[in-house]
Amino acid sequence: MTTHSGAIRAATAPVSRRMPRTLRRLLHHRLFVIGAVVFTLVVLVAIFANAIATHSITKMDVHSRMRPPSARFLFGTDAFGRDLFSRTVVGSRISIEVGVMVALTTGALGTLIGAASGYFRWLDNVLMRIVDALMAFPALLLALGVAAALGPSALNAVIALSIAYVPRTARIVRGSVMVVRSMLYVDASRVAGAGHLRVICRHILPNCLAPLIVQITFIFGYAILAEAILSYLGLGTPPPTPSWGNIIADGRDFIIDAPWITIFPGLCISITVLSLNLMGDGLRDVLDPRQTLA
Amino acid sequence: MFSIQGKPLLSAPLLQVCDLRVEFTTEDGTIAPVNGISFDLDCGECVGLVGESGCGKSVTALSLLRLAGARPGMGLSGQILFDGTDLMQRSEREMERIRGKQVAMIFQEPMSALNPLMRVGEQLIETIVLHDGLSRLAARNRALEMLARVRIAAPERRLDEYPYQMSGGMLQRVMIAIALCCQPKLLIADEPTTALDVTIQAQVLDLLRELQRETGMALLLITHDLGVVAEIAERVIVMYAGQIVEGAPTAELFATPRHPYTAGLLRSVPTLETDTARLWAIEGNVPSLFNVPDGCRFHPRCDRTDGLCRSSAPPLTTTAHGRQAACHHPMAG
Repeated sequence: MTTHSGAIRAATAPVSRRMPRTLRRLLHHRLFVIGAVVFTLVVLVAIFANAIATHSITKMDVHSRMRPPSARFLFGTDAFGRDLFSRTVVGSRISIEVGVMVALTTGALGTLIGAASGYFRWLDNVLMRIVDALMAFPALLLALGVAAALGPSALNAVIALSIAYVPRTARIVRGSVMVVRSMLYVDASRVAGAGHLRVICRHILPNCLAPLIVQITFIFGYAILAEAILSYLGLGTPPPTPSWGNIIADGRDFIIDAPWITIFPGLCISITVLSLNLMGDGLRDVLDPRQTLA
Repeated sequence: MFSIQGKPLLSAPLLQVCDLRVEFTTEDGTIAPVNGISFDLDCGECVGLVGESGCGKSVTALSLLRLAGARPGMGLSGQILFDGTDLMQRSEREMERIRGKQVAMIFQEPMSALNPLMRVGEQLIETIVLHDGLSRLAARNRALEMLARVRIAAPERRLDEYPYQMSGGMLQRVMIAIALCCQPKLLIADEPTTALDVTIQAQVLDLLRELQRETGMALLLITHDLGVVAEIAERVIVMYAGQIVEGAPTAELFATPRHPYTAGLLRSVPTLETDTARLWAIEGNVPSLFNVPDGCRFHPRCDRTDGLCRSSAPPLTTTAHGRQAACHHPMAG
């Protein structure tokens, strides 16, 4: 009996106690640390983009069209003679901005819908059928459709991607809310006279945080990738504002003669998304040990 | 009307439950874990509600607070007169003010009855602020006082600890502190000592009894442990398959059970005096609620069964000296 309940208590040990331990375990997770360092660098580049950029991002120069990488043009130049290094550095802003906004909206709306659906059983059927319908489309295809309907702009890309990713987040939150809702301390707080809102905000959601954090990290990465895809297809950030996706789109026709136009922003996307995925994996290993394979 | 008059009633009882029925509709049909039960509880009285697992004890407790049978697909009917008002007629908002303030409850598993992410003191203070509208400072002082009253050493330090830092016995004390912080008139204790080891059980029971004496609250003690009932309850109600089969003052019930089921329960408790190689058990199993036997629900397991038992359900009848039993052939008193 004692060992049994001891095991239960260890398994449900509160995040607060784990907080220092969580941090320690994260710092010992080598892949998480690599991801976190790389991602921090990317964010710093995005914040100080204007200081880092060596040239104007819109100034064209016919005399230096499609120059390969050199000391003057670190990443080379594009078909209009614009400096690719500066454009890529400034382009990181759009990616990070879109990523942050999609992660925040998805987190907020997903939590709202997931909590309502997981807690109130009468709402569950209605909300989850809508979510099912949205999830029947591949996320990217849905985002493409919405972006095409709304027209190309960074904000519309955020809206489109949020619509695509909210259902997935809502599903995850709903699942954890349903688990936590059946915990005795939730009944206990109802018995002590707490209303539904108080129960949800004070007792249920804080106990659902771990899987949500993991999910948001992954969505951040997917959103950056998807924004690039939308921009590449002309449905994201419209030129002349540089974004990684539309720089790649610009380089599409010169991929044989000037591959650097495509390679550098492509590398940036891969590295950023990889760093976020590494962080997500690390967070999942530490916060949500049940889902770890092997 | 349904009261068991162990002592003369001077005023209306604190709690009067009348034909309470809880139904759950599932895919396999409708079941009634609580099927038309009636009982009373006086101010300051301690009543034990006993029965096997699954006989409807806990559902009864939750339904008194309107927390069972309140969801879609569930039905709650009957009358719950508490302190002069019918709880069935109250709005959900009014119920929230009654829960924790007038009627409090403690649970079987204190280790999981507290939010693992919140400090113990915070959970106490939350309830006090919610019901009594005190300032946080005043609520904190009250919380300290409550922890001291449930005999927790160094309450100032414990107040800022998390549930995992405490033992099961201590957590049950905290639960009792939370339950009693707003001076409820009725405390429902759902198997309060089942998850604790024996020495702690005794301490918690002593504490409950003491606090009950100090505050004059009524105590509805739900348990399957007849020893616990014998120790602190003045009156016992025995449930079987969602119905009350017997009710009597504790000493009389233990001395002369009227219902064969009660007699079976008492016989299955091993004694220290006799050397038993095999424990005695009531034949058969508790019936599935999807397939309740006709007539008396206990008849397939009873050795007094006859045709009447198979065809008609015995009503709960009150005899002299305030004893109740639902049996066609009650055992001689």
